[in-house]
Amino acid sequence: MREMSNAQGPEGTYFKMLAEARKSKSSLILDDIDAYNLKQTLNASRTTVRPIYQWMASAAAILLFVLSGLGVWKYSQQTTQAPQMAETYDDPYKAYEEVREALAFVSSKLNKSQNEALVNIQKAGEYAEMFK
Amino acid sequence: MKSIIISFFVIIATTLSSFGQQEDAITKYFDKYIDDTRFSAVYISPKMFNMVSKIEIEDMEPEVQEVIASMKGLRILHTEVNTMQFYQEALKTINTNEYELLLTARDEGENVRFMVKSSGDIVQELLMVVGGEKNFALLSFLGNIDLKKIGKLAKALDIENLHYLDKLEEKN
Repeated sequence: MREMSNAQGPEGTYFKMLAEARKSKSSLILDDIDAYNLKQTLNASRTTVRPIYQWMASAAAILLFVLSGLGVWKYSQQTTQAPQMAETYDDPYKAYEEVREALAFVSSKLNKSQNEALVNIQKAGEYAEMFK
Repeated sequence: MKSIIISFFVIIATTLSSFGQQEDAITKYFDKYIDDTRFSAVYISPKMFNMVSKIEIEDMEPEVQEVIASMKGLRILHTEVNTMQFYQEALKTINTNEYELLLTARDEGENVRFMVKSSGDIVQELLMVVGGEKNFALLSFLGNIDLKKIGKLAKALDIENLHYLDKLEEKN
């Protein structure tokens, strides 16, 4: 541009005019940009943008809670189903026979141990009253 | 924001730990050996107990009926292999904070331990551990267990079923 404005003759004046016009035009644009930028930086330094971030943060927190809740719920369902062992008897009569024998075994062992009264630890003394 | 994150992690940690406690050590022990061919196992579910208490059985002693009605589950593990090793393992597995030792006895070379898991005065589980040279057995009775009633059962049934474990092995 400078080289152009230094040029002489009728073309020179033309280029000078053009350059000036450009200069004034471009400086106007530059001012506009500067003003715009200033506005933007002022806006950024102010708290006008913050509520959006806060809203986003709470939304993310809610999302996390919901997702974790779902995860925990699924996990709990898995664990409640996992320990189920295979049923030994399909027939309740056979199951009854087994329970009856097991109970008889425990009962007689319990009585025998009780009679021998070998060791009483912790609350055994308290429970001993229960067997009398 | 920080407090939200911290409270979130605290909530997650507590819920996860509470779920972890649901499956107790004994359940894990049963799960470990229930498919092991060296063991004979019996499992009777709460559903089956419900059915048993509904069916009509002749000559069913009222004492037995009462005990069965209050029971929710029965788990039995029995083996004749490596008995002392399994006995020691079982004793280590049992959480002494959860189970209270009720009685220990030595009978014909067999160690017998009775343990109870209770909340307040109500016994929720009676656990019997038998360990000797010939037998290792773990019997778990779940439900609202009345020890007094169980103690009286042997008299009511008029049987001394001390060789139940041998019979258990023959059946399987």
